[in-house]
Amino acid sequence: MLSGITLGQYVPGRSFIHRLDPRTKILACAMLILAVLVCNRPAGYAILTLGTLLALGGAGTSPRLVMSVLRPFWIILTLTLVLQLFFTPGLALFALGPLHVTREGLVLGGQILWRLTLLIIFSSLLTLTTSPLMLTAALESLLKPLKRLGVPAFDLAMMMTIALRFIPTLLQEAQQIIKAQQSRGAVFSRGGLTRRVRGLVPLLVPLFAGAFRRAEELATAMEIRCYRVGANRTRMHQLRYSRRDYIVLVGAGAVLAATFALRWWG
Amino acid sequence: MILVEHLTHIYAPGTPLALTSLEDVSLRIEEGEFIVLAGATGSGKTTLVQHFNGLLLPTAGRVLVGGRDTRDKRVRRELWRTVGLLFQNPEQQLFEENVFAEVAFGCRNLGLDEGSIKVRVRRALEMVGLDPGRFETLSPFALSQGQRRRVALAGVLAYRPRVLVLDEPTSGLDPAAREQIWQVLKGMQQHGHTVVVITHHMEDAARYAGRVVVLHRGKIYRQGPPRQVFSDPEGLRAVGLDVPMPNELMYRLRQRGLPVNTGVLTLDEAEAELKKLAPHEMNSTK
Repeated sequence: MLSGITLGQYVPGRSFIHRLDPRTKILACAMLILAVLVCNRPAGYAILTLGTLLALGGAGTSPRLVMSVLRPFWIILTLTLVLQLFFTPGLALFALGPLHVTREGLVLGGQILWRLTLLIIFSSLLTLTTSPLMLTAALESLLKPLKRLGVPAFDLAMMMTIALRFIPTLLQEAQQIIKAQQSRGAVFSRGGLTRRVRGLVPLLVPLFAGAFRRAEELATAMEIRCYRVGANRTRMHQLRYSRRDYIVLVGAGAVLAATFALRWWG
Repeated sequence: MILVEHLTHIYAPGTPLALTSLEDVSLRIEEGEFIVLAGATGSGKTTLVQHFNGLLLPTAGRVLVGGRDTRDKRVRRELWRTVGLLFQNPEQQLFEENVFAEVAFGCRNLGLDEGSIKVRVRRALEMVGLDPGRFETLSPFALSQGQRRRVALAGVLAYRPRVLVLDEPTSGLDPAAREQIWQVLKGMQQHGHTVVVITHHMEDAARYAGRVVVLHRGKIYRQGPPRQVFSDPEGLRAVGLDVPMPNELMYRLRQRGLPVNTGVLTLDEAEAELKKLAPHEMNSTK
């Protein structure tokens, strides 16, 4: 059911992107996502696509891995494309029964599909190449200036790491429970809607029971290790920007600037 | 009953996380056998048994259950009726509001009528040592871990699959409960069921298994009657396993040059061997 690379999983490596400062990756990722949202010109998409290919190359990601990252989203992706194709008013290209595929629909649908794909790739690249530990360290460091405004930066970062840390665990546990219940003859993916919804009970009850148990155990384990909310901590690895970080930040900034420029003056 | 031919299984093939769990494993399990599957953590035991009921499919090779290939989707859909698999830590899969419904879950999925479900659930609860009158109406979440384990076990026993596959059913249980579970499984075998058990308790394996299969790094390392497999403590220790105490004792005596048989399984047999060595001393203490 769920196999291969799960969502948000970290794949260790020594590539250019892997060795970037995690703060650089977060900032660059944020800039590129903003650029994707702002972009509305073919030239802008071309720049973004080039940036994506560079990023994928820099991370040493195989096309196969990219596909397995996109696979869970294929329903959403095709659905948006199909809806845009049929329900955008404009010049009809050809008809399927009462539905018309319009030229505008094709353009808009293609754009949205490409945007979503890029968004998924950027955010996946971040989690694929950055360990959860580095991710928190970076978040904490980036949020530090907000501490003066009373934002509990460390707690937020901690909450995020824990959430990230447990996504794969919960997915794995869900898989395990599905298998266990299938072994007892439970059916998850057949039958009408009511049967399917009722079929979820044998999955959800043990999953939630397990999540609560885990949360409690984790809290105890942290307290035993004298974890205290808000205490100031030192780090074993200090984050430091290097030359490649500046290159990437300038590159991502340039992409963002270019898409802005194309949108308003292009 | 179950035929495994050149089975290879790789998790997440083609990704950086690819992991070969089983490599060219061939195994034949006859109807009515009692098999213990042993091996260190990560040796592929769980992966292997999940092929028996079609939860996992071979990356290469094939698995036949009752002559039918598990790669066939229609076969796989019905396979749970024939091969009942109890997962490791099955107490974490419980979800019903009371013990009766929990144990009856498998029977309901079989489509049995309420009357025979009632009979089977009661019988299964008795078999695992839970008094039906007392436990039937309790919530599974109100029970102790050991009791919940037994409820999960009863859930498989109740629908009576021809093959019972249990992944470490006795881990974390006290000796009395462990003994009881082995007795139940032995009883099932005597009624014609095929039993496959994964366990780290070699003493129990020695007493109940008809055949012991030892896995090491995804390959079959040793297999045969317990007497034969356990007569080589060095070989088993090399792959992270223990041997039963009587075997260990005989093995050490043999190393000191005493003429004893190392293929003993029980304390009684070990005692008999010792008596042969020194008949007078042993008799005088009795």
